[in-house]
Amino acid sequence: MKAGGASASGGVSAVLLRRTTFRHWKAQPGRFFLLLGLLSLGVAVFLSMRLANRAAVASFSNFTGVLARQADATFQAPAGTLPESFLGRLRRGLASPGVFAGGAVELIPLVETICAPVGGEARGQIGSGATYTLMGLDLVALNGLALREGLVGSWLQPDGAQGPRGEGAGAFGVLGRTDAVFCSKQLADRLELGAGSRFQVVINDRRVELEVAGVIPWRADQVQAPENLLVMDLPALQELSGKTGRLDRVECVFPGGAAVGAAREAWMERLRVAAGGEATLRSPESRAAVGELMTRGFRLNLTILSMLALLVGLYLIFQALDAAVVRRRGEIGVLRALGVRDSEIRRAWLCEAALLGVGGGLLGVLGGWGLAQVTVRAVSRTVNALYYATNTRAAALHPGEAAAAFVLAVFCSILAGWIPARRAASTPPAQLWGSGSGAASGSVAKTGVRSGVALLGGAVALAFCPPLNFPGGGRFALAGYLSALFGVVGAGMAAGDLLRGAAWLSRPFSKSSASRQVGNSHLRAPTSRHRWAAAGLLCAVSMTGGMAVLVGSFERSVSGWIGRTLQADVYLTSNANQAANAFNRISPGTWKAIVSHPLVVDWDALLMFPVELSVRRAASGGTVSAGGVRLSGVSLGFYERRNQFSWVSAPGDGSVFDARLNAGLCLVSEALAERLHLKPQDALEVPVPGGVKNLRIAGVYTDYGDDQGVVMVDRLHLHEWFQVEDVSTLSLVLAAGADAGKFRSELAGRYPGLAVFTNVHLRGEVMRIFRQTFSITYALEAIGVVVALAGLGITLASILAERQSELTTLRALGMTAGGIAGLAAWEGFILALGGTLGGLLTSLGLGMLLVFVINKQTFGWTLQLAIPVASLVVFGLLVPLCGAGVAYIVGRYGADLPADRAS
Amino acid sequence: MQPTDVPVLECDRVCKQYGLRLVLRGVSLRLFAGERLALTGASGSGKSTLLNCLGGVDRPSSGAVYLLGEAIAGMDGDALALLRRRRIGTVFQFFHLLPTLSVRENVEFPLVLLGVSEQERRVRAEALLERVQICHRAEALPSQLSGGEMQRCAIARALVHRPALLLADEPTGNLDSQNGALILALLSEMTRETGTALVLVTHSEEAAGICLRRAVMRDGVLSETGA
Repeated sequence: MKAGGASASGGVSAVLLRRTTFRHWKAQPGRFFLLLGLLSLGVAVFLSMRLANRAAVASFSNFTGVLARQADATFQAPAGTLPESFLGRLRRGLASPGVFAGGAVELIPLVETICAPVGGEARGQIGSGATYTLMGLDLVALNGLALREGLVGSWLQPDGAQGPRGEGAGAFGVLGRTDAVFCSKQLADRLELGAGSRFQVVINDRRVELEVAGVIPWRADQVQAPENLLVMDLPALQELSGKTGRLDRVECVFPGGAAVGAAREAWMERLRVAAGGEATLRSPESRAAVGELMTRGFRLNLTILSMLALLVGLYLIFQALDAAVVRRRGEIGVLRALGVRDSEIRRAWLCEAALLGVGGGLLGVLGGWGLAQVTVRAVSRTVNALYYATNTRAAALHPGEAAAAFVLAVFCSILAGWIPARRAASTPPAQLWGSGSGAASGSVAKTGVRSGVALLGGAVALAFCPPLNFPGGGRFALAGYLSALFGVVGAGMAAGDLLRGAAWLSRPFSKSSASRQVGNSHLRAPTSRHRWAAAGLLCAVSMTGGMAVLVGSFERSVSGWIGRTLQADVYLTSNANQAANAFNRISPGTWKAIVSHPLVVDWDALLMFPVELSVRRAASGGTVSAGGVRLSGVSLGFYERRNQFSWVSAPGDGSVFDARLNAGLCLVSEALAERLHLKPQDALEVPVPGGVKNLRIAGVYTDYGDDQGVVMVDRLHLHEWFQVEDVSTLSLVLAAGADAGKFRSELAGRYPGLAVFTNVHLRGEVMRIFRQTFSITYALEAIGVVVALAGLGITLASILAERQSELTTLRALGMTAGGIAGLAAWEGFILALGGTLGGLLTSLGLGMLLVFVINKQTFGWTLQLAIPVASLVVFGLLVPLCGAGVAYIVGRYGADLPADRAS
Repeated sequence: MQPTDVPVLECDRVCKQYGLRLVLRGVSLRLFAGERLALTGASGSGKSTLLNCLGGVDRPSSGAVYLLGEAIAGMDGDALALLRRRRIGTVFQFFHLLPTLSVRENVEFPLVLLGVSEQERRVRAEALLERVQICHRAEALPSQLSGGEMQRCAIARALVHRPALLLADEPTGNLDSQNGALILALLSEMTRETGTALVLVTHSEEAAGICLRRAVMRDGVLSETGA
């Protein structure tokens, strides 16, 4: 009986859906598609960010995977490059009797560099020029591998081979040529290159002319080559990039197909033994994880912001369904009077919410994919500027991400439909026919305020909790994010009382106008709908304002930092250094000639290497791997002389600044010290070619240029440890009265492979890159505010629909359509004013939380708090005015609602 | 009060059609200042539609309605609203006070619409509240009033701006007999004192009793039956 009842109940819900819900949709397609559009916008923004992130991170991958077969393992030097002799030792180790009885492992040595096309380089804007990843490979070995893998007719083979192939000379035609490259199909198409085409690039400080020897074709059965990929013969690139006799990586392909599980582990162990600890062995997964780790903070920021879009989508569905409950109140009352059960009505409304979620989710997935093609460029630009080279221009639709976005859309939609469904099902029919069902009872309002205050208290307590710590120095500010969530939601719940305050304050302005008087009177005792609208706006404004405080604080701190750090008159680097991980250098001949220019009175040079750092823990006596950081070499004496350091912990004495005394000393950046809990006198193990250097931390300094961390030593030691004389950048102090602009032009003309910046220009560029980093953030925040304003409009529309009787009375009393619109505009203005004022107040707390807790725990940077008062005031005026505008439009609609009775 | 030359309200062969359904069939009517007309008829006979057309809330499909000699057919929405604001007062069966305004604010509201000064609003509202005997509830919200008090407040609001025409739609339909009688007495006295023309839609004989003229609507046709 019970089962039968349940089944019948489901049948009634289905009938309700078919006979009422669908017909309402059909009757008002505009309203239906607007709601679907707004929901899909939230999903699209969320998905596009995820896809763009994935595409940008995927570019940090193993490129050989696109050439023959994905490598099973990769050898890499813990610092700098590997000597070519490593390959011989590895081969000998692998040839030992008993090892690899099942076949020979394929070893593919390679060097890799970032180069920039001539004509597409900096042009004054760092990071805006195109870059190519130029890979030098043992083409003969690669061709052998391709043949063994059954890739007959691969692009590595000369013309005339059977089967599908790319056009060009094949691997054997370019051996030893320092000007021959193979380029990806996309690059060839975009630049209209074909076999024999010639173009120029900058490698280190030199311009080099290259000829296209062939095009790497796109194959459906292989990973697609990145658009910016160029391949040349290994010895040729070694020569061009100044890495003669050196290798960046050795990739290993196991025989007999990819091994899995224990077999793979056995292979890995054998390789480790054969390498004798000279190089670090990584699996493809761990190598991909390096890229993910580097961008973790950035991706987390975007993911949280894109979740915001979904949250506001959820808010809109809630508002829209709640409004639909109001509109269809009479119908619900009749249904209930006819004997339809509460559960049946609730189920029908939840099904409606779920169906909206399905529709919005599907549209959102498509929209997200499209939007990702736009956002990927912005994400790619930021990743390029902050982390590593990527020119990603397209984002693929990842099935997992699409499914996750779709499921989230349906879940959020059902969640948002829950309260309206409950409201529809639980209100007595008599009340449904009457008016005022949307009003919050006093007890409900008081409960909301009490819960809001409790949440605000929780937010304060959470702000003092430490972050979650992961092995290897990773941290996540979970308590900080929860504090932000509690704070914003808590303030939103308490927003109702702000409306009373705003209504009270605006009362003197309302007396002389009938529209304002009525509009104001409704906010003296705000309904739950008013509270929701104000809460939504408060959340959006507080998050935008909080981010403005964070960005303002960042800007002030970074401005102060570059003011202190950038004190030289002219700066030089390779024109190919358009990305954060581009380590092109200036050769000794060039930089020595430049620093001996008669106008140069003082100079310094920076030399950088990525290294795998280890920290020796005094307490446990053990060593902990701390992941990849930058090892920078500068003249510490020069920095001290020019007072360029901003100290978190200043060195106890001056020995670290004296090159004769500082061989065992280093300075670490604040981000690294925070991440690894380092303090002065702690010991670091820094890998260098041929061994490990034990360094003692002499001081901790502020550095906003890198969130992974920097270990700084005297450059003279770095030259010695790495056996290189090149430098990465040059800083020149000119003689008093010298014209930096003229000097810059002179150097730029003489050294076309170098990017030369004056101090003013470089400072401007640093701030431009800084602002560019936050551009996506601003875009997402703007979407949040727009959606919140749309929510305000929907709310007011439902409020007016609910007040149809009152509107009829007002019209009968002689109020014009303009007067009714003015009423709505005033109500919307006060509502938005209350939400905005509350939002701005909350944003101050949120800003401080972001600056002092979340930023500190995530990036380890100490920022000076700066409140952008002017921006917040403008924002605080703009939002209520926009709210009034939206409300006026809704009011015009309200004025045209049909009369609910005879007058 | 004697009728003047210009009727307050004049309907000339007013027809109203919704789709194929003809709701009003050539209704003609003249009402002078101080006259009271009781309009009766079965549900669905067209009373409400006629009242909508008289109040300028709805437009006739054909025919004309004149208010103080002015044809309302050519007026746009705003002009009609201004006409209602200045010349018409309305009393509803379900009171329809503005729920968020106090009794005093509700009564003052038509004067606010007309831009009357705060001081004068206060004086005129006080006088009417005293007249309908709810001065002591002046600061109460409508939700705190009884049905009779609400309707008294509604009458004060309908007359505070001294309209030429008062449209009352079942003003006692939602009240007990004692309150109903009180409201009818108020309507009768106050329209007589102010010379306001009254159209009273009602089912009640007692209510119709305060009017000197009576008319019945049957299937969209109005027929006057005399006093």
